[in-house]
Amino acid sequence: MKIELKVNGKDVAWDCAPHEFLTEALRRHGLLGTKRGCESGDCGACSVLLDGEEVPSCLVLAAQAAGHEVTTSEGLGDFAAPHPLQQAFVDHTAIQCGFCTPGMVIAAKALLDVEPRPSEHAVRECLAGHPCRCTGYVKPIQAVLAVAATNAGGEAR
Amino acid sequence: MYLALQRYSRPSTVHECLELLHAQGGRAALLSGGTDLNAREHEALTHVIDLQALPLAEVRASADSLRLGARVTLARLRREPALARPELAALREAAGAYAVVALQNRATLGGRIMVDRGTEDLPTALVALGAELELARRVDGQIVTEREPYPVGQRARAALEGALVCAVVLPLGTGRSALRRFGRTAVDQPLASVAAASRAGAIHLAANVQGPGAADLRTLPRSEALASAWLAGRPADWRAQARVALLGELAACEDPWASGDYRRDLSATLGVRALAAVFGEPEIV
Repeated sequence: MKIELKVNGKDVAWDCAPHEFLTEALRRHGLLGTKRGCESGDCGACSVLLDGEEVPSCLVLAAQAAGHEVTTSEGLGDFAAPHPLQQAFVDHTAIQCGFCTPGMVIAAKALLDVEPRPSEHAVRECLAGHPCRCTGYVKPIQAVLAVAATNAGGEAR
Repeated sequence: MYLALQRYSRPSTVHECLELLHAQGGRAALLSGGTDLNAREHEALTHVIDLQALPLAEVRASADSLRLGARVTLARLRREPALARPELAALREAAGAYAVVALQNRATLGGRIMVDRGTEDLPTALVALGAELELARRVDGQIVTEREPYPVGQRARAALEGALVCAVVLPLGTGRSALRRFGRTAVDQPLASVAAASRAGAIHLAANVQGPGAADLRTLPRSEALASAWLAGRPADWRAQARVALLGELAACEDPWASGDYRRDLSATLGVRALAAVFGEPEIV
């Protein structure tokens, strides 16, 4: 089946199977920042923004995303021009293997878009669905709070 | 990838939706937020019927009731201004207790009701709040819409099979409510949850005590009667009396996660705290 949606600001028309989840469809089209993890919504590694809200793309059929707007970590920034959140994760060493990091950045972006200066509790709640086995849980929180302190995270790019 | 779906549909009317469901028999499922589609290994499904095009996401308040469309997400329940009332605190707390933010953004009221296997906080809150369901069914080729009390117990729940939950209707008044729950971690399903609500001069209690042998979600009529008498004034030892009453009505459900005695005692503690919140008293003394 053919689905039309907007991915990282661009209108696309993709062929997908009825059983294909959004994670697979995105990765098949080269958007590898969206990781395939638990495939049950528990790990957060596949998080994307769907119409501005963080969702686990492993639980969204690609067909369900038709007519909607999807933003992946690639849509936030890249090596040449990283998003402030991506840069903050690097600056605060809130990253090691990097597998779960795009999902955390996406979650933080969703939070800062609606709450530019969140409390630490709100940041912790936002990242609660993103278990990390490398860096622990303090540095990602510090990275998000650092961006919030500059109030730059709420600016969409 | 556990699914063998061959067809995806996005109907725009309730009639079309239920016709599709009927035509496909047990091989089709209604799809709302999709939080359990992959996680529950629905290998037998060949067809999903996506509800997103149906007009089921409306929130409508009147003087004496609140109608929540079945596709209202749990995230929206947490921030919806119409729910910012002390009497609906239990519903907001139940929505906030569900999993994590990303899943709250997808999970819908109707979806959680339909997939509930006695492991959810949301139905506990809804029963205590006196919720009714607006259901659409296909009967002899016609679509019939009815409003029914929230089903309590396995037999009542079985009647939801084949129905489409269109909305949840809550009575409004001036009372208070609270849901108290406990899970092993912040994102785990609860070991137990208890909701209390004061409404129309009475206390309403619902408990979800999980475990093999649990009678699913239940109301607690004897504890309700006792607590209702305390609305005007309470004896000094009301907490001890409430605890005894609750222990007498709660089942001791044991499973690998908790012993029956622990779970029953935990539920009684949660019940006393929920009552304290409704009475406007300190939960821990």
